[in-house]
Amino acid sequence: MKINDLILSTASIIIGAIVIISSLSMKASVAFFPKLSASFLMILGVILLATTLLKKLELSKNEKVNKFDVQKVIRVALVIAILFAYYLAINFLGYTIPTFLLIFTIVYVLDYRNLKANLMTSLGVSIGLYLIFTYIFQVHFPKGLFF
Amino acid sequence: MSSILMGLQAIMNPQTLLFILAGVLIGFIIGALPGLTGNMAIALMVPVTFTMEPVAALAFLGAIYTSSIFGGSVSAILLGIPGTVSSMATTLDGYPMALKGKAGQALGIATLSSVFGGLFSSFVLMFFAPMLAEQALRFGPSEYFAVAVLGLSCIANIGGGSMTKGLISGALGLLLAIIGMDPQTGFPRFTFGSVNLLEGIELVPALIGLFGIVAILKTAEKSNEPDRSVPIPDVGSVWIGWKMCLRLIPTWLRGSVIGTIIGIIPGTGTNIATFLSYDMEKKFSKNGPKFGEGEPEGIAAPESANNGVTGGSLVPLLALGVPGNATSALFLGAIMIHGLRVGPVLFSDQPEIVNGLFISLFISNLLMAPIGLFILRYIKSILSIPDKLLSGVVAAFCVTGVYALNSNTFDLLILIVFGFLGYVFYKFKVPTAPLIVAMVLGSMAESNLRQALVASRGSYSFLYTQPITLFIVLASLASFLFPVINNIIKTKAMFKSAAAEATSEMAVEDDD
Repeated sequence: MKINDLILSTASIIIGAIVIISSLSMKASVAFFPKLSASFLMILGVILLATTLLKKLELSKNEKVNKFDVQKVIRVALVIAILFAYYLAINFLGYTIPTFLLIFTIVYVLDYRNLKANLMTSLGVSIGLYLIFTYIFQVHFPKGLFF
Repeated sequence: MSSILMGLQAIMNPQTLLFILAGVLIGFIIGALPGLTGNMAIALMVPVTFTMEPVAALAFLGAIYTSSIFGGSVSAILLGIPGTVSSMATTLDGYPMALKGKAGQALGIATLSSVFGGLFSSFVLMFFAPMLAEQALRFGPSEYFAVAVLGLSCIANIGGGSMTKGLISGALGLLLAIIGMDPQTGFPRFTFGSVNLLEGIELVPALIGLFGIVAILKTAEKSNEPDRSVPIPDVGSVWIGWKMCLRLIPTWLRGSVIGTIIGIIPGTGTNIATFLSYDMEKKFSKNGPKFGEGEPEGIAAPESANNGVTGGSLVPLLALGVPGNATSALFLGAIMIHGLRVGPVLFSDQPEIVNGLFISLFISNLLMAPIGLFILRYIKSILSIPDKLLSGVVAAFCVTGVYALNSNTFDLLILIVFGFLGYVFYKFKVPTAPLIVAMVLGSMAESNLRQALVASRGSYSFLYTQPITLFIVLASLASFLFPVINNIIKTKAMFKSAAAEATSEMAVEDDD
């Protein structure tokens, strides 16, 4: 986990620095808390960096090299992309169709190959949720092109 | 007595009782499914409570909370996989007992232990929270600032694993709490020109992202791994007999007391309570050496402790407005969407809501036994639902619930961003609980500090001139420094032993 810790510590220092620099243009009272929290984050980043580098020799003997699984990354990225596409589509296509597609594609991307069960679940859940939230909870979903 | 009657009056209507029943069912099933947690169940159901009466909403979520922790024991016993983190210790004796062909007995012990622990902690919550809230009525901004700092000081403990990473998570939570308008001047901070961020980051979409979306991404990650499903043993009779009940009463009492006390302390959690209770029982019990081989006390201790945490963890939230863990932060989100304020004001302004919640927790715990025992008949079918198919359903619940909160698609973006953030945290082994607690307490600390500073004309003297503030600040310092010092001592010891090892190795080489 050494590389992960190095990335995390560096990111903490960079984020802290960005917040402090951005706070410079604010009034002192407004900038107090952001500066305090960012300084705290930077200090922790430095501590993590130092401890990670100090452990270098000790760990390098036993550390396992994590294999980078491309398939895993692609699948996770695809799920996030589907969710993002849903966010973009809901205003144009309404609620039911994007929700049906969201369930169906996520289940498919997760390697579930029983298409009949997937189709039935996607259809049942999207229509069921639409009816429950519209008629019981009185939620107004975007209308979109269809319904 | 009048408060009990008030609570009963608020709860005793068919609709609310039906919501409690539904909550127990939902919580139990979600808790039993490995990979789906109680927190995720609460997060997904918070938007559903939007249109309910506040009493019914909190009763529904309380029922999910208590029964999901109990539900976690089912997969721990039958599959050897804890359904929730709180059931990890139950696996140690529950699974071996199931392998011996006593799955029904193990589940029966878990059921009754959970009910005992839950009832005990509800009782403590009912009497302790109002007392604490009464004291907190005297609190002003300086005391509330100190209380928020006390809550924040505990984030070093919440993480589990690396303390530095837990603190980094907390610091990021503080930065996220800053987003939005400054509490006094209204100056927009880090809103990136977005009107949607002026009020800050919506807590509930963020929490649903951190619990719901992360669960889907975790399933996505392991979906190409070979199926390691284990055969589910037959459950059989779950009644353990009166003799066993009498034998387990001392264990239940010890477990419930430990769970409730640990639950009250902000920053602790069910996993600490269960392992502490298990460890203590191992020392107390005459069958201690047999622990790990399927001892009844090895199941009863952690199960009474984890349900003991439920009521305890709500004490600081309800009495002081301070969420001590992720679950109470979810409750805070649910209370906030009803436009209510937590803390002593809730006790004085809306006593029927608080007392209703207390009574509903009693009812939920009592319902857990018959409902749990009934569902256990169908547990094989429930546990065989493919998690990949469930992930699609969870995704639909996440997006629908989040949109339903404000009918604003921007909340969906928050959901996705926090889901991704939670996944990054998971990959980097950074705990999310400190982030959540800091997000809530950060703004509380800042606004109260600013108010206290205005009252004291810019002087920080209120930190040591006001006795309650001083006491809480000192307690915060102790709470923060104790794990830090403990960590330093441990690290020093580690380096010392490494150095000693290296010296002895060198000596051996010299001898050679």
